[in-house]
Amino acid sequence: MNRDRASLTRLVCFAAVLAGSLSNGSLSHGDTVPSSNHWSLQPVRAVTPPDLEDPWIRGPIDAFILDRLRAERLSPSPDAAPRTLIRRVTLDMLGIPPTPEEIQRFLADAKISGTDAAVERLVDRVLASPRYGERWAQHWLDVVRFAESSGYEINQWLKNAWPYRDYVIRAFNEDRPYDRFIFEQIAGDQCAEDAATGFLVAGPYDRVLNQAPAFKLAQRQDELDEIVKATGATFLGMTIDCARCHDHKFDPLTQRDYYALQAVFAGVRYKERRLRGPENDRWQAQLLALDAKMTPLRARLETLRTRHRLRPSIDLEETDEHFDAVETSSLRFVIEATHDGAGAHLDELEVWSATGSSRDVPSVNVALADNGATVSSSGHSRGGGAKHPDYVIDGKRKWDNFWKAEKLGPAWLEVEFPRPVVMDRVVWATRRPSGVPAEYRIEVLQGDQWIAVAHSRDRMPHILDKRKAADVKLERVTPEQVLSLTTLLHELGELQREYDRLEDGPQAFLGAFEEPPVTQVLNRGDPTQPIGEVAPGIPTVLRDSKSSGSAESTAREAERRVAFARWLGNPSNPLTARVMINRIWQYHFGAGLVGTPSDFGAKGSPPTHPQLLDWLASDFVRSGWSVKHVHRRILLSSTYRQVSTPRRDALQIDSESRWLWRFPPRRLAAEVVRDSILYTSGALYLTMYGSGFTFFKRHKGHEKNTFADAIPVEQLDKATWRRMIYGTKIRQESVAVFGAFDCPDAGQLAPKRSRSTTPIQALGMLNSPFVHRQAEHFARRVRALAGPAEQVRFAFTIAIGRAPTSQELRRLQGLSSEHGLEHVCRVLWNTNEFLFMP
Amino acid sequence: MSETSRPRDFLSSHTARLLDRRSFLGHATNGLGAIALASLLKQDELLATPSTDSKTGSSTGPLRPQIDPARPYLARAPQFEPAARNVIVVQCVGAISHIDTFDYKPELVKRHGEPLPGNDKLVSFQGENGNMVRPLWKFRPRGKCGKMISDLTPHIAELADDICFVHSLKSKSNAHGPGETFLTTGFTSDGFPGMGAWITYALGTENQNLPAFVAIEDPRGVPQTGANNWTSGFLPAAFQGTPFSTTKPIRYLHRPQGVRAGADAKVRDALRFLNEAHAERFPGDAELAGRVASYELAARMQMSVPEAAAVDQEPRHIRDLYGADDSDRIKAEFARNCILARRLIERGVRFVQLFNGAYASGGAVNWDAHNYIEEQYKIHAAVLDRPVAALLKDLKQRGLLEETLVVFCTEFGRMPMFQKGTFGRDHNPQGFTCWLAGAGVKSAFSYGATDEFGFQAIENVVTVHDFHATILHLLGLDHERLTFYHNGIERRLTDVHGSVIRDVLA
Repeated sequence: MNRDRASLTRLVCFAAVLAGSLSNGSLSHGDTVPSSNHWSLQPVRAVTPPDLEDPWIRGPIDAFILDRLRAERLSPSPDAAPRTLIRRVTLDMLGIPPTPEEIQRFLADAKISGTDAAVERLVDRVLASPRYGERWAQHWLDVVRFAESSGYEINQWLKNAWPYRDYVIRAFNEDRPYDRFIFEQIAGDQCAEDAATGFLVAGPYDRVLNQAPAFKLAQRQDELDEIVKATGATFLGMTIDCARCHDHKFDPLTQRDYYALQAVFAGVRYKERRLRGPENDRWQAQLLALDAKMTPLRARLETLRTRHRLRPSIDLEETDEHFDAVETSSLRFVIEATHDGAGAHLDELEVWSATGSSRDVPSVNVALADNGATVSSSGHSRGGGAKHPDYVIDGKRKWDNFWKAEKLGPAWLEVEFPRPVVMDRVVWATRRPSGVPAEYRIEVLQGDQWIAVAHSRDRMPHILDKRKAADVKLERVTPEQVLSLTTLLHELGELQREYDRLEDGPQAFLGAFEEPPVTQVLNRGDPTQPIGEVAPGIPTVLRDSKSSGSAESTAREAERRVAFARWLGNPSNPLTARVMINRIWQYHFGAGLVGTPSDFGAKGSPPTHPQLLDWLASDFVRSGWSVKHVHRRILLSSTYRQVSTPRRDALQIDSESRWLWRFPPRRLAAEVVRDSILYTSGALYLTMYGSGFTFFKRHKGHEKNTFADAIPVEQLDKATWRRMIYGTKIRQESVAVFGAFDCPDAGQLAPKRSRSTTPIQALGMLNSPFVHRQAEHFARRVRALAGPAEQVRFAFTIAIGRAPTSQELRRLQGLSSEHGLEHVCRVLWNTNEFLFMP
Repeated sequence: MSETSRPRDFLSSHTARLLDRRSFLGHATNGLGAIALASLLKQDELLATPSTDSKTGSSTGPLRPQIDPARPYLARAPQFEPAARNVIVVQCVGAISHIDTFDYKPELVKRHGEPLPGNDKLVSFQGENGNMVRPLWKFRPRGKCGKMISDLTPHIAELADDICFVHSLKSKSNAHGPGETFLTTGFTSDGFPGMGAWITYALGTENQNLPAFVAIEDPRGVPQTGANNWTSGFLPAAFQGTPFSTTKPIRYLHRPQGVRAGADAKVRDALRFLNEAHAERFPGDAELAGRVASYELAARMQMSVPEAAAVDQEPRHIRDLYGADDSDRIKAEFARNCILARRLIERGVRFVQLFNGAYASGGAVNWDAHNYIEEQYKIHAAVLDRPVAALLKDLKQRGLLEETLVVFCTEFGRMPMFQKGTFGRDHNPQGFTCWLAGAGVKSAFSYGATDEFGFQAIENVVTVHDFHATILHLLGLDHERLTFYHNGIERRLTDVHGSVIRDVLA
């Protein structure tokens, strides 16, 4: 499918969902509705910009800002020089500095067409650059604490979580309307945007298998809490997770509201799901041909089986063995070899009494512990809890309770009956595709002799059997015949595995959906204390006559999410647009109009410019929820274009520049520092999308794919010289050198990064092999560009975006001639001028 | 380092809004210029808005340490006179069995082989349990106080007269990940600041040339939830612990091979020159000044860290005390880590978190003995016992124990039974033992108790929050007022719980 068609389908689906009435969800319960006069819960007001005449004003934003500055007895700062502006805009929007050529072109354009026109073209250019999505997606990934490992003890690598990261980059680059962006993240499976639901499972979750019942329930509650918390904070700026154990202490959110929202997501599981799309279509298209290839092989195999008079192969779920009735007091299951050489294991072993000719006596499983049977074995494994033989006669086929032999190689299980019984049937199950008995005998005790009543030598080997032909022993079948049989079997097995893989389709960690159980309000959040059912719904305080956003308690899983997502993107929602506007503003100016970007509640800070916030929110909705429209408004404002130079008088009144009397300068984020080093050294690969590169190596001999004790590695391999957003994000772990620059650890939501200055940062920037290696690259690049006399000047201009002063030049040339150009390059990256947004 | 003067009160009790780095500038610099400001600040001087009622401790407002961005580690005064100035946490990874070490239960010995009364069908973390099994090591009276301690850790046992045992801890989780994270951060989920981050956020540190908070990893590997133990979470990254041990130096402390010292010095000179020229265009920008200062601090750390880590400089009798030259590599390396802990504390490092045991392994490299407790604990105790006892003795003989709190802890305990079909004990969050020693706590004292079999804490039950509240209290910090706003809540180390265990205070 070509891209246009794909996006059209998506659009149509989305429209259909919006138009359709999926639930008539009227409110079903009679809660007392908390009300609030809190500012953020009031409808967004229709505001007109202050009517000010001032040449400084370029647009409505400036009018609001200037009005406030005047009230604070402050005045704005003049426009920054074009050279500063292009660096600011490029670092802010693309996360890399402008090249000297881009600077020259921009300056020339400004000279010819005037700065305003040139800035407009600059803004168009950066908004059209694919680098834009790579920078701004990172902000969103912070907000939702996206990572590619599970966190907690196991910290499992989620190999296929990256499609969500790619989705976010694409959504920003394509200027996906924000209401649609929200809808897709909550219910993308319903509108052909599968990768978007990675949002739902972006948080940490505990993969440890906990057998203690209360703790198992708590684990699930924690999983759901992550979804509720992230949804409330990300889209609504509400800390609804504070109402998990009791009503919210500060905001009008009840504990019932919390569980009503939990019910919306109660069917979401932290699992992989098929990622539909072109790749999936390609896979499905191969199935028919593959099946056609397998059909004759299957037929041949079946012919061989009948020719050799073999019973059908075992069934992993349940294998039946029938034999002539025999009386015994003991039965044993002797395993000589498993299909893959792993330690033998069995889930369940049933021995059924013979009924004889009488139909009145029912057949019973005499091997049940409850019927007095006892079991012993050659030994059991003790890894991760004992895999005790008792589990095979407990009557429960539970995934995590099974017998596993203590050692590799031959093993046995013996069941003793309280009295001799006549039996004619054994049923055994081994549901894990590991250590499956392949060469086995079932024997009964007759006097002091063990007599086989069933065995594997008259059975067709299983399609998963990995043994060599020489190890497969079959009755009445010559070794040559065994060889042709197993050759065929292996061939078919391989095709079958490929068929299964293709049939499952490409999998991605996007959450899987199941029909949910009834959601209960839990006393003090304790899953062992349910105190009443609750239907899925939105917080009571936000309900109005037009939008219920809730569904019946019997609503199907997807309907719940769809109804909720529709409500979130409803323009009458007082929070959705305000919260997003504030995030965009924060990433441009370093601080939001509301200082607490994911908390618009009573404990959050009030907006510095409430009128501006509402004007921008309405404008955002009017623009069709276009994020790029908002960027353009901000980037073209005089407010954004001010110099960042401090002024003594203004600092006295407002040292934090909260009233924006200047553009607030700030240190670049970790990703921007790293990407800018690679970009200026000339080593950055701009390959977009796909699975990430790694910042860590895993310990040898530990569980597969766990990053629990990962070691940060030096990024000296070219494969890692991509933009940092393509680095596999591992929870808890801090990446080498740049982790120290306030990279969030993806444990908690990070709507705002701290900005620290530490000696550890300085050590990494001065001494790390990465920086040294890149400095060599940079030097090589510059040597290829310029003669010896010009090299320092070139390097300086590439890194800093201006020519050095004569003093700077002299100083650096001294360093270069004495110790080498590499060291000049290293110095440049460590300067404040390189590391700060101007 | 010289004894610095006791910090004075500085923490504001009435700051109404978020006082982050930027708003600090609003209060403290008023545009005077941070370089000028920094020169006004002496190491032991404090950036304070006066606290109205810190002496009575009756105020309930949040305490907000005021942090100079140029010198985030500057020593800051606690809220009230502290009993302890610094902390060493010895953390036993994987849950060391209280049953087999410090919690003496004669009834368990007597009823060995019987099912646990009332809980014979108990399903715990890994599944079903078997019958009760008496401690695998003999308990004997120790010290003058006669405290019953097992033979598993004979050297630590000898010091019973110096230790304050807490036998009645309970954890919120029965799994290592959440349990370990809860023990260090007060929360079972990822992403919260640990004790060391909170404490250095509040108090800074005494020695500006060393990291404020050092996490010493076990020679066998990182703990179960790795950096969760020393992350700064949502606190500024400056308060993140620095992982560093005798086998794992601070990364990038030294210039890479092939770079000459001369080149390095010239690089710094050139950098300083360019930054000064740049700063002239931004007079009064504290963040820029802070970066310049951070490079100077980094240069000083390059000198101070190797000096502090020079464990080999210790005299023979000290090395022997710890067992630093043991022929067993792991034993020697853990012993050297213990010496390192002392050397760091001696030099004014505020918080040292010393790990014993590593990431999950079926009990092979940590205390998680589900299967073969006897064999595994013999190995682990031989690593732990002598060096930790030596650390305590050494701190004491140097007088350092008078201002240092030593915390011996683990994420939870183990069951009085063996697991069904194994020779080991499952996780037990219902009752376990940790101990304290040194500044501000009673010695030769035991607090709280589990039931007659060591299954559940029943007397003077202590939560991990209480334990944290007590540690903060000993450092002169009110756990209810040391807060940081994050996503809607004034977060605390103790969540919304905890009270100081007054009975253990000296």
